[in-house]
Amino acid sequence: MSRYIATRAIRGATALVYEAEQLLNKALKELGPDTPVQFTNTAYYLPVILGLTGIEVSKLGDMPKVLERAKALLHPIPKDQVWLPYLGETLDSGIATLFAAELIEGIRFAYGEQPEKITWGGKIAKGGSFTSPEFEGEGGNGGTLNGPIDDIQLRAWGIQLVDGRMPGFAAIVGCAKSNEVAVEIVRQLQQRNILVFLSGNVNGRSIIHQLMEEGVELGYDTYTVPFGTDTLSAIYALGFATRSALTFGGMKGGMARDILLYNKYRVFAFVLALGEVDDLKYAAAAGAINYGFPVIADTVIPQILPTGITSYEHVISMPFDEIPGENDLERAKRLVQRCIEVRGVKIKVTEVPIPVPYGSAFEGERVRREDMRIEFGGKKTRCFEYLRMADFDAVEDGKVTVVGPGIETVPEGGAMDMGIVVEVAGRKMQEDFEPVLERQIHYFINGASGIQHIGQRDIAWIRISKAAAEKGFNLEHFGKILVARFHADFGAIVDKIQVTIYTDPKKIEEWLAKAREAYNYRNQRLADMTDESVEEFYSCTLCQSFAPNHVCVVSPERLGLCGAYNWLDCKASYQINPTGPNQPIPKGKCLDPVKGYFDKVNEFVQSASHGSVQQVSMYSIMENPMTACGCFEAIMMVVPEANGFMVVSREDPSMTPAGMTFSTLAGVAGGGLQTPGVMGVGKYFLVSRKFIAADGGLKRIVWMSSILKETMAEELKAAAAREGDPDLLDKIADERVATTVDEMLPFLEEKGHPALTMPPLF
Amino acid sequence: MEHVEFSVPRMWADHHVPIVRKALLGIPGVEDVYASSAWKTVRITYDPARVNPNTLEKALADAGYPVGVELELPTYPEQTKDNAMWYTVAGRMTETNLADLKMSGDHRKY
Repeated sequence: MSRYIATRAIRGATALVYEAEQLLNKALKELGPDTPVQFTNTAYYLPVILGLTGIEVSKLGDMPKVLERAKALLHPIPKDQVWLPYLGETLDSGIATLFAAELIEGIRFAYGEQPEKITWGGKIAKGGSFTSPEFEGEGGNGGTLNGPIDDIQLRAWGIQLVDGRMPGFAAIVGCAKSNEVAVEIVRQLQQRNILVFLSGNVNGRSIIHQLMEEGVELGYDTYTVPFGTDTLSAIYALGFATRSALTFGGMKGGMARDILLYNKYRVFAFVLALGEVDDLKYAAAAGAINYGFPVIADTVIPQILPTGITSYEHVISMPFDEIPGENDLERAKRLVQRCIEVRGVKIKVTEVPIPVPYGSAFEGERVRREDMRIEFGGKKTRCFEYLRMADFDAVEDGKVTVVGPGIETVPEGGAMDMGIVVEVAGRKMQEDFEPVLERQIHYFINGASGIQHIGQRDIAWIRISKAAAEKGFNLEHFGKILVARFHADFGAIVDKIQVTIYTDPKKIEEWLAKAREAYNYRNQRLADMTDESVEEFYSCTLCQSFAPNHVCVVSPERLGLCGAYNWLDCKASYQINPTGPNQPIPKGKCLDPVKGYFDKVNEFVQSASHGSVQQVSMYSIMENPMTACGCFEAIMMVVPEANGFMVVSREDPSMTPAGMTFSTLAGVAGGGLQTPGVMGVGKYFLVSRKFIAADGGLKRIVWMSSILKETMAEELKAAAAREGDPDLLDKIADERVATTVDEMLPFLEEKGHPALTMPPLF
Repeated sequence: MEHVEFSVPRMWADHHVPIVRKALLGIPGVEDVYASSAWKTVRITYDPARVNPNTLEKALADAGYPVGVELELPTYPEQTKDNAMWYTVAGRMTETNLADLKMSGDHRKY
């Protein structure tokens, strides 16, 4: 253990706790103890403090007791002469630092100083993962950094964190040697799909400034989140880690030891300190080590080698100029590689032979019209994609053919028709897997930097940026991406792949007709697939890496609550990985066809939930409802006064008639707990014939987030018609007409909502 | 151009740096500032015809970062068995917890 690090960390912690005390006293005097304190859109108060102490800080007056806890964790600075083990004291001081930093950020929120404003005049991308190419604005608040990640985004990333697509996060603090190095470090992390959190500065200059100057798109969509330009804002990274345990691990505030161990074993994160390291950075690093997150510095600092808190080394020094390599870019690459080794992050990188960087972190990248070289589909042209199974002999593996003119024939900013036809052959391939694989085209193509893909089937819309085209990206590369990714990700069912890109108008007509015929056939096949028509359902325990007692049971008429896995996906996943998270569950004897009890399903759930769930009803929310991990697209909750249920979408931050927002409700619905009357669901379950069939189905929905009503209008109308009430959607309240029960009831009565006259729920 | 370097002990973290830089860069004649929170020093490049070190020193003091003045930290009592957090909250563990050992990874091999 390094006395130098212990000294600086303990000194930094003491100074920060002192600074927090001064600031708190000032704030209490100026603003008063009842001034509310809240981070953006979170139900977890100040999450590190909540997680580690159980204290719910909602106003300034709640802070003094936290400050006392922080003080009690401080220790005397090590003396020059006496050798002590220091590690325990250093770790304690680290936690004191985190408490103080979170208090200071909370106070800054109370003063309206967070999220931090940035003087640089560039654009910051904010928002969800689906973004229209027509979105040309600045996004979010323009010149404001992100601040803490909200609960909605944490849950949206949940499925990627648990299925390994997103292996972990890197908290980068400080400023890189040059802009070029900053970009390379971030690109290297993005290519490995590691979330990048940015904070800190050196001499006033932050890596955030460096990336902005180089035109790197920052935001949730590109996995690069700028927290703030000082090290205090790095607390948001640890808040994210703490909330992962609270959200997905089913833990409660105050379970400090469990939360820290959860992070050590399940959240693959590390800290990368760029540039000189001051007392606060040492102290904050000590805080991160408590979570099992190692710290790697690109300057000369003492090291802390294995002692057991992190998996391997605790603090590593890798002076940038001494890293072997021909140039700085190579050194940056090696630095990132070392970080990954030290944390033990498991990463699978697929080499894709294209001239632009490739990785899931580029999936959310936008190509704005002014940056666009060419587009396919959208308003002006047609674009479709079609994947079909073919005979072994008819497929030449790896062959990519372009039939028709290339992009060079179209002027800059123009558009052209395109069809992507993928033919696959494999011994285990089945016709049912065609749509499952076809949907992957969206993710695979989007992974290329400078390429944007939206939609699917014959409403696909693809843009190539000028930058990508300048680097040599052309039509053939779409094929190369698909060949590489299908082999890498679906090698178990796909042996041979060939791709044909059509731009020739006659060929497009011909293949579009074939594709549409196939789409219709698949639609019909899906519609005919019912829970009664199959012998087995599938489990999904993917999220058990995060929510250890949760089990999803996926049936043809009930997709996974994350919305990402339907019955066919699970079936394909089982073929790909027979010992994986999607196992077939024979239905066995049907114990109750209305509520959806099956004896073998119950047996499976008991075992897979480690005994925490005894039985599950597939079609009821009021009796043994299915548990949830935390990745749900929407939450349902009973509204007793209206004799029905409300559905709130993950994207809806507004208040609901239950008196809680989505974030607060999520605390009740998640973590593998079975709570009658509350359930997390995939949004397309709402239009299923089996949707809470035992409780009255869709007609029981009395309130629904408007975003669901709008984005699923056609599907919901069709489902309402099927239920015998075509105007049902207009009778359902939303946040625009009611956010309380008192506001909602007159609306329901005026519209004659059917739930009011249905049999009582209780 | 001339350089001057001041020791500024109160600039001990990077959130102090922008305040120090702003205070100095606003003075006519100051060309460049390197403020290091790691070494708690600030190196200023300035035009001696327009500004002198005393003015710079005063600007630092006005911003709350007087030259050479240490940050006076309160002394917290040394934690003892009676009041240390690890005794009061959960009881300090002095033996290896078997749960930890079971979950521990490859680092035990070192």
